[in-house]
Amino acid sequence: MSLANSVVNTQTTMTVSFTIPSSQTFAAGDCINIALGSNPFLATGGGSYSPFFDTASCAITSSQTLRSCQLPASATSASGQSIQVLVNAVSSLRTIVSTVRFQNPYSQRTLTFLVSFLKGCTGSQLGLTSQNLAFTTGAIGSMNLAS
Amino acid sequence: MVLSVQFRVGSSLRQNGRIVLTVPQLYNPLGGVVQPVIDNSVSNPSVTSSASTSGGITYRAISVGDVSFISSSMSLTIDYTVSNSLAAGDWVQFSVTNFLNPINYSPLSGFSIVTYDMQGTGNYALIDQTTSSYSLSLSNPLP
Repeated sequence: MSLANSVVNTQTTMTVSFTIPSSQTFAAGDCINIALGSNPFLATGGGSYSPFFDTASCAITSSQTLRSCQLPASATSASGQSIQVLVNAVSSLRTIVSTVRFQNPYSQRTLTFLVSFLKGCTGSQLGLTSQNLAFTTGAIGSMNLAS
Repeated sequence: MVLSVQFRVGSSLRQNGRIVLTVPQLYNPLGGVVQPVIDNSVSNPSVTSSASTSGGITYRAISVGDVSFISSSMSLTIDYTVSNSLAAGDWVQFSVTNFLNPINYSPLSGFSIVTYDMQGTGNYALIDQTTSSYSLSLSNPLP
């Protein structure tokens, strides 16, 4: 599984590509879970920066065999630290591309995303991979000084 | 003296953040020492900001919170809030007291700015920084 390599400051959607191991078997109701290793927006005083993920813009772009996206059952609307791509059925299809909407950190903060397979969406974790995502911004190109 | 600073926002600034202005040193003939151009030996510098329009450019103001100056790193830290996010390309201006004017017309270089986003108490993340050192030159003789 892999994620986009970089995200610019104003970007609020992320494309996630999954290459499912050939040994992996999915059944309807299983999930691919996308999570943050640590959500900086839930720190004290985070305010408007949470939740990190939402379901308003989550789409499967390469397959009709996946059903939808959802927040984990344990998540509240205020946390949203992970989002689940709900699997309908996967047989021969091995590459899936999905987009999810997230809260851009509006800074050069590096975030770690964790992607895993979950049986029954809440069951045992079948596989896990992680990737750091660097957020790029611009530069201050003009400054005037006077005294 | 008062130093007036204006800069153009590189990437959008959210409602809570921090600006760090790094300043150079100069030789102060009064004390015979080299010191930062912001002097906090007697009192801490203060920062004010107000909106204005000049030359067709609208300068946005920030609400200034905590201000501190560290002589060893020659950095002025300004915590701020704004009611509406500042977009890339917006101009911001603020003024700093306790500034020591150059004693001659030689450009005084070494000014730079870094912006940080604030998420949670004490949780700052780098947004943008100037890519070159800026300088200040006197345009009129001192009285």
